[in-house]
Order: sequence, then structure tokens, then C-alpha cells
Amino acid sequence: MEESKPVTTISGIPLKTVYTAADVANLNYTKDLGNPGHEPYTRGPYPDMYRARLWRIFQLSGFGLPEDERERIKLLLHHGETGFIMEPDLMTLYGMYDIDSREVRERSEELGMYGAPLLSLREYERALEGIPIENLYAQPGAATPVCSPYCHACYFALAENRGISLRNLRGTGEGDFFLSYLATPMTKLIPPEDGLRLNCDLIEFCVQNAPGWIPVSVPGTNARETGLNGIQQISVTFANNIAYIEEILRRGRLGIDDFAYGLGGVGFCPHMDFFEDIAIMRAARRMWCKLLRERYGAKDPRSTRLRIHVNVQGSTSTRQQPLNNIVRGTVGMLAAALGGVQSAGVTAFDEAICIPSEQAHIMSVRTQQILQLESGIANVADPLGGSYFVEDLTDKVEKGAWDYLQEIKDRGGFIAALESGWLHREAFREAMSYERKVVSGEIKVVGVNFARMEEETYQVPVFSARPGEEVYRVTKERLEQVKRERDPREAAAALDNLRRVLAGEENVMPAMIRAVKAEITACEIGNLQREVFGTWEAPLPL
Amino acid sequence: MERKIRVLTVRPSLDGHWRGLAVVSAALRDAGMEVIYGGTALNADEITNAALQEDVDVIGLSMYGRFGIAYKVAKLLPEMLGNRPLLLVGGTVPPTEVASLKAAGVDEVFSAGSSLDSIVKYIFDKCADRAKNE
Repeated sequence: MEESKPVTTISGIPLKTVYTAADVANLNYTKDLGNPGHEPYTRGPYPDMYRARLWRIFQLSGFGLPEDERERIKLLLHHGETGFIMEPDLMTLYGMYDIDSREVRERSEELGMYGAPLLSLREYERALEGIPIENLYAQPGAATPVCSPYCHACYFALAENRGISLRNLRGTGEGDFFLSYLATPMTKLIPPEDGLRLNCDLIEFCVQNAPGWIPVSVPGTNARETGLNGIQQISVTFANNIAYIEEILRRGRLGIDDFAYGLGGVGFCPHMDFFEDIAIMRAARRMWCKLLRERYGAKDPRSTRLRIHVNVQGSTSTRQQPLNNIVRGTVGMLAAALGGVQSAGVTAFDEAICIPSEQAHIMSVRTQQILQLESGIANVADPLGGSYFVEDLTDKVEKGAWDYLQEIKDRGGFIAALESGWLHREAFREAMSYERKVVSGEIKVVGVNFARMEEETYQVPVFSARPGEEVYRVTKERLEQVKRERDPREAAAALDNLRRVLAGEENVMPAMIRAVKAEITACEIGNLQREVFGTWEAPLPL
Repeated sequence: MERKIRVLTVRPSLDGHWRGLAVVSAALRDAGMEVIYGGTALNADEITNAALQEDVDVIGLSMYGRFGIAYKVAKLLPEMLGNRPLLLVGGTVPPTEVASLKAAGVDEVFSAGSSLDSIVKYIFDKCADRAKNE
């Protein structure tokens, strides 16, 4: 009789057809699970979970001019999202490119396609006009390590100008190394180790001045989207956090419990393997607790308790039969909720075709609201706790994640593994493996290699933001006006000061805040960062 | 010995997505083609110069965003001396853009989700046709 191929989870864990008490015979409730809100936090970071507070509906949004981004944020807030994310313009802010640079000029039609060019404090004021940031949780455009200090400086300066104490601000930065350096590395970025320095400065600054603010959030999401599997996603996320921890400890000013809370919010990306995605959340919490407690001696629950944001869908969205993506978004969001996440953004169903239309964006909010309010899943914490299958899978995911974390350590740690191209090659290898399985039909994707339809029954209205040339022209005019109207002496002094600080070891944030208040533009700051740090090209397997 | 088909691949967009191009490049290499990666953020002049220098049969542009550079390359190609390479575009290409690109002289568009086999077959078939017509 032919031996059938073993069935595995999407990340390669072999699966039996049924699990029994024998599979969890060694499970120790106190050591391995604990109640929600208790070490090792496997069952959730908080005791009552969603009964006390539902997860935050937190959607990525942004395009066009700052005022367009503002209107979409207001729309989503109106329809029920409970925090807002300002997506920064890819062409300029992601890499802090100068709008006058050859690279951007030659592609002026693309300005504002995926986020607004918030290139000065005035543009931030435009984007946030009428939005009560003192009452809202926000991600202020700080998507990449390269732009995060500048974006934070603008948001903090704006808050101060509105009379809001930084101590009262709530929100998070990202500083996503995977986005910048792994998934979509642009040309002429500042080197990863300088990105690390800037973001460690941000962490130290926030600990002192904005203790309610979470300065970074490592989203393993983009590592997964580049090809790494769900288990490796945990490992690279924690490897990034370890790089932050070790640099800040090396600096000698803070103890682990002073700053680790600022690293304890991460991002993951469900990828349609329902139970594995649940196990990933639970395993990650247990692993983080052990890592902080045992390797770094953390004692404060705020240090050892991991909080998770998810981006549901992305590379698993299909161009074909786009309404199917609503179902995929629901499956992923359900897994995330059963896994006990703290906030979520569901990618809009038209993602593979265009940036979200209003309708698709609202659908993402509704998906979450229906699960929160109609399904009953929010009534009980960690409802799958004790399931023979889920507990066994959680153990296996955790073991795999520790093993891969060791492999990254063997390659010199996160920054070394990134700069050498090793992570890119790993991601590529996994991406090829996935691709082969889709081509062979081993992995079925409805609408793509199963149930294909020659004619789409539903035409997605293709949403288009304001034309790039218009965004380019208006943005340039506004920047020129800023330069004309600002105090030239303070601008020159602030720029010199920033150059001095970047080239030295002082914390960059006060100088960055002074610079944005003096109306130095993101273009000028980006040029300065490149001048001081030099540039880096990712070693890609192409 | 038969000359290998030479393919110049380029990422003209500032958006640095590379997974799609890496997967396609591997498929082309597996099929016996020679794939030369021309680089990132190149403009139309740089792309056509590279294509000339490398004496390629195919130019493959992996693009995420808008396609101005693809249109410019399509315009420049007929002015090239020697044989005009095939011009292919891949990446996230909205359906509305496909017809427009082809009308401008792009030979074929393989948007995200296209089968790797179809790309390989297309290149082999077109290159064989050209060889016959020479």
C-alpha cells in the first residue's frame, strides 16, 4: 500500500488525524500555561481578556495628500476603529528620500500612492487637524527605522504645541526592520546598525519622557510576507527585540525592567493555517516570558507579558475572485482572536488590486466588529486552552521557534544575519518552497489553483488616490513655502545641532524635535542621515 | 551549442519588493535561461543601456506602483540598434493598466499570481519565433 505523504501545518509541523490526552500527558498547568494574566502568559496577557477590553480595531490607512489621509482616518474612526495608523508615503518617508532627488523626481506620479508625504511639521498639523490625539491611540507614520525618529519628533512636537503633555500620549511606533531591510529594501537606506542606534535612542527618550508610549513594535508580519514561515516569524521578531535589549543594556543607563515594556508589543501575520496561527500567539507569549525572565532577569510583569497586534491577510489575498478575501480575513481574524491578540488590522479585500476603497476598508472594520459582538468568542479567555491538539501544537511551535532563534544567534544575531543577506536567502528559500507547493497543487488556493474562473463575477471598483503629479506639485510648493517662512537662523542652528548629534553618541530625539520645530523638512533630515551614516544596499538573491 | 536566452531583470520602482522577481528569476534559470539582474531604481535610459550592453533577448521589469518607466522603456526600445528585446512587465499590475501597457509596446504583462510555467513558455515560444524569422 502506498504510503501517503505526511500532512503538516503550513510551517511544517507534522499532524496526526486526532489528538488525545496522551499528547498532553506532560503538560503542567502552572509551569506551561498559567491562568490568563499570569506567567508564563500562554493563555493571554490579561486576566479577563476581552470581557475587560476588546482588542483594538487598528487599520492601516493613508494615501494622497495629508488632508486625504486625514479624511480616511476620520472615516474609519467614525465607523468604529479604536486607534489610527498614519501610513507614510513610500516614495519619500520610508527611506527619508529628498523630494528633489533624482529617484523621486523620475517617479513623481507615485507620490502619495501608499501613504501621505508628511514631510514637515506643518504637514503633520494638516493631517491631524480636528483629530483629538489626546484621546486616541495612534501610530504616527513611524513605519521604518529610518523615518521613525522624525515621525515621532513631529507627533511629539505637535502634541506639545497643542498643550498635551507627552506623558499623556498613548500610541506606538513601529520601526519595522523587516519592512525596510528585508521585505522591500529600497536603495540608499542608512545601514541597519544605524537604524538600530536611532531606535534605541527613541526607546530611551520615551522611557524618560513619554512612559505611556510604546516606541517600537516589531512586526514579524513582513518577515512572514517575504517568505519566512510562521515559526521563523516568531524567532526573527524576538531576535530583533534582543538586538534592542542588548544595545540598551550595553549603554548602561537603564535596567531591563526600565524599558522592556516598550519592546513587549509585537506584530504577527496569520496565514490561513487556523490552528497553527492560534498556537503561534500562545507559544510566542510563553517564549517571551521565559526569554525576559530567564535570560535577562526581568521581574516586572510589564516586561514579561507579550502583547500582540496582527495584520490579517496580505500575501494570502488573491487578485482572483477578490470577495473570497473577505472570508480569508475572517478566518485569520478569528484565529487571532482565539489566540488572544490585543489589536488587529484586517487587510481590505481589494488589497491585491488597489489600495483600499472606502467600502473595502469599512468591511475590514465590520469583520472585526461582527466577531467581537455577534460571535460570543469574546466572552471567555483562551477558550481553546486545554485542547489536546492546540496544546501539543503550541509546544511544537515554541520548540521550533527556540531552535530557529539559536540559528540566528549562530549567524551573529539579528543585525549581522540581516546585513549579510542570510535572512534574505532564508526567506527566499521558504518562498520558493511555498511556490513549488502551490504550483504542484499540494497547497490549494481557491480561485488560483482550485476553482478557477475565467470570468470574474464581481468587478472590484479600482480605487485610485489623488494623481501623484498633483501630490508632488502641491507638496513641493508647501515645502518651498515652509523654507521661505521659517526663521533661517534657527533652522541653520537646528540643522547643525542635528548633524552634530547624529555623528556623536547623544540621544538624537531632542535634536530631532528641535529640528522639526524649526521647520526642517524630512528631506533635509533624510539627506543629513545619509550624509552621516552612509548608505546600504541589501544583498538580494536575484 | 545553442545560445542561452538572456534575460535582463530590473526593479525600476523605488518600492523594493523582490520576492516575486526572485521566484521568477529562479524559474527562468531552472529552465536554462541566463538571468542578469540589472539593479534597483534604474531609470528608462539606464535600463535600455544595460539591455544593449548585456545583449539580452528579454527585459523583465518588476514593478510595484505606477508604470511610467515601463512606458518610457517601451518608447526607447525601437530606437535601439540591433534586435529589440522582448519587453515584459510583472508585479502588481491592475487589470486596467495591462491593455494600456501593451498598446504602448510592452510585449506581455505577467501580474502577481501568474503561473511561472506560462512566463517560461511565453519566452521560449517568442524567442523561437524570432529565431525562425531571422
